[in-house]
Amino acid sequence: MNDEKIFSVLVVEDSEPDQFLCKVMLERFDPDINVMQAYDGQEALDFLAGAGERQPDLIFLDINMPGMDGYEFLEKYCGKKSDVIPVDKRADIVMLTSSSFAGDRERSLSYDCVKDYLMKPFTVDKIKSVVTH
Amino acid sequence: MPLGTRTKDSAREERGDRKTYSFSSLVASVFMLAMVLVSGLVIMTSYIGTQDIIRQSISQLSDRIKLIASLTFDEYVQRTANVEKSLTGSATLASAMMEKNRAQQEKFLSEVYHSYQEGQLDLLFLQNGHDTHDIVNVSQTVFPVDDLINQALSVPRSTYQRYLIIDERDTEDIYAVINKAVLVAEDTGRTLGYVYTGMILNDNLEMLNEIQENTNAESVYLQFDNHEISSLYATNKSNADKEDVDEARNLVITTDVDVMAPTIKTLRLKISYPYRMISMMEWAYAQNIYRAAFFIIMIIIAFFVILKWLTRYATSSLTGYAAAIAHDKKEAHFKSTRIREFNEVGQTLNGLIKEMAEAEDKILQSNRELEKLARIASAAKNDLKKTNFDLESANRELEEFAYRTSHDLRSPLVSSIALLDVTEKAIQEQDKEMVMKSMIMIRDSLTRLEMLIRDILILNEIKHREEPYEKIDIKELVGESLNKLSTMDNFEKITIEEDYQCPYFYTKRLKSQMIIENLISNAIKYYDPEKEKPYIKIKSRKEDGYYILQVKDNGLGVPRDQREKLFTMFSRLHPKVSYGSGLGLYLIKKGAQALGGNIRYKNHSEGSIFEFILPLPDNNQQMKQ
Repeated sequence: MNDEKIFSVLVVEDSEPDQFLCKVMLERFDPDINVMQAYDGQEALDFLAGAGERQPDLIFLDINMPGMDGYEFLEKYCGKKSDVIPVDKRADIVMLTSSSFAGDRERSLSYDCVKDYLMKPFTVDKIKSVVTH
Repeated sequence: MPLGTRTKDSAREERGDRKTYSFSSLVASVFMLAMVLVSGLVIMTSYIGTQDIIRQSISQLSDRIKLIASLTFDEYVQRTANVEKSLTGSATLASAMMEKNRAQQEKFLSEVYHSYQEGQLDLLFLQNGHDTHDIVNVSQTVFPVDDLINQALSVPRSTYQRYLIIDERDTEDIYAVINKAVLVAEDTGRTLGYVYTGMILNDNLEMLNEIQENTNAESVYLQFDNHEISSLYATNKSNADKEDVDEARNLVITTDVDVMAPTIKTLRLKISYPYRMISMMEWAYAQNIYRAAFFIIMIIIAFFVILKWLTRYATSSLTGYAAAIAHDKKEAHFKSTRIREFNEVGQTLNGLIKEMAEAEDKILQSNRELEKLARIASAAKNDLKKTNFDLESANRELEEFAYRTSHDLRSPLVSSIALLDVTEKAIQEQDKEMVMKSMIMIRDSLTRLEMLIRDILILNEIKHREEPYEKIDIKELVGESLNKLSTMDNFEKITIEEDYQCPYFYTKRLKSQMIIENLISNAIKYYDPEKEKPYIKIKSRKEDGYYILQVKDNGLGVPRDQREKLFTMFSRLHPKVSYGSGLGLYLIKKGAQALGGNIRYKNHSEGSIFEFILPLPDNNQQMKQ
């Protein structure tokens, strides 16, 4: 981790309590961390498209969301036809979901940008394992 | 029943009043009749024709002879002279006759003489005729008349009779000679025969009669010589030519020449037919054959014509029947004829065709039944397919429900547990603000959980609750719902308008209420705060056999790309206004379908229109079935 640069994370999650939890946990892990929030895929995409050079380092992505869900976001962000964000500027994505359905894990990991698949609840330990990895 | 028996019986019945014939015997009869006709005709024509010609020839000949016999010598000479004068080649004709017949003449005479020598005759008195003259001349050297007489006289009385042969040239008085002979004969008790060789002329006949009367001659013979024939022939021919001469040369006279006894007064002629007659007869015969052949051919043609007609007549029933069968098997009936074989064939066919038609009917019927069964089977298959499809989609729905439910149930619980940890730590750190914030979050999570569980319970109730159809006052129902929803946030900001063209629905109360309530609460939830005058318009109407309840708002509306998912479970459309469990519209849809109706979404420029469609009672009954 580069100390000079502030580590930024985008949490894409529709549930307010979960957003709150993520933020709390991430700040516990690193008080200086920059946590950004989006409540569905479309909002996240809009944010990323408007962020320019200030792209997040990591994205935590929920699957089940109203409006644009996690899969739709993945397809638009790092799918084969995607051109919203240049490939070299795309952040790594960690899925964060309460779904224990095996198909969801496989489907998510089929995207190159998805690096990990975490089950809720969101804990500091889990953040540590992801970030160090 | 055996086919043959029935056919025979019915054939017999058919025959009943009509006599029938065997075709083969009919043909045989016609053939035999034809043969009898042919042979009869051949025999008759040849016999009658030939007999006729012979009879004609004989009568012609005897007429001629009678004619000549009636002539006197002078008349004859006159006639012959006339003939010879008028005819060329008559002399040649006569000499040709002579030449031809000399041998036979001689034969006759020698036979007579032989009889004399044998002693059968006592005396033979031979008078010279026109042509016997030459013969006697020849024979004088052998047996001169005087010698003969002397010899005759000198012969002792014996059992033998003798003839005296005299030539008229040797005696001036024929009667004297004859009488001398007669005297000798009387003296010696001998029998006298007299032969005159000459033409059958009236003169000669008279002379013979005279001899007969004036002498003691037992019998007097006239030799009818061949010259007579040639004369006859000559007089018969008016215009002789070389062909006639040749023809005359060919005339054949039999040896057994013609004896005439004036005493008997009968002219007996034994003549073989002259060549001309033979050729005439041949011609007649040939003609008869040609005629017969012609008749035979005609009869054969007639036979075939009759046979053809008979065959056509006999087969017409069958051919007609065949045509009738080709036209329409069932209507075809065999009409019996008088021909037995064809009747039997026809009756047999009739039976066969009838059975065939019946069998065809049966096959057609069973085909129809099979088709019907096939249709039923196909319908059943389609039903099964549909049922299977329904089951599969129900199954998919159930699986999805289980998946989403487990997720959505677990998610707020997991969050709450994690939030409790955060709260605990905040209490330890005495971070009051964090405690408050996490407590709120816990409440949110649990509220969400509660809403979900409530909706699941409602869904279950929709599926399982039994309730009767009843007449429902829409205004009243909407009023109750609005009353319940009046505690919702923003409710007071929204104008509610009501217009019920159709004030009553006939349906199930609780399900309808759930639907109407959800529609209105959605309109409230997704109101657009940016609009100056948010409204909800509730209307009812009847259209095409359906009740329609419409809820129109000027709220947030449904984004185009979300409309497909609108009625699926757990679809929440507006991230920041995510009140619901995501089951709301799914519940409404299921409820409407349970009532035999549906829910549809319409877009409009300001917001959304949801329509709750219910069938009228009649339709409803149909849809229930």
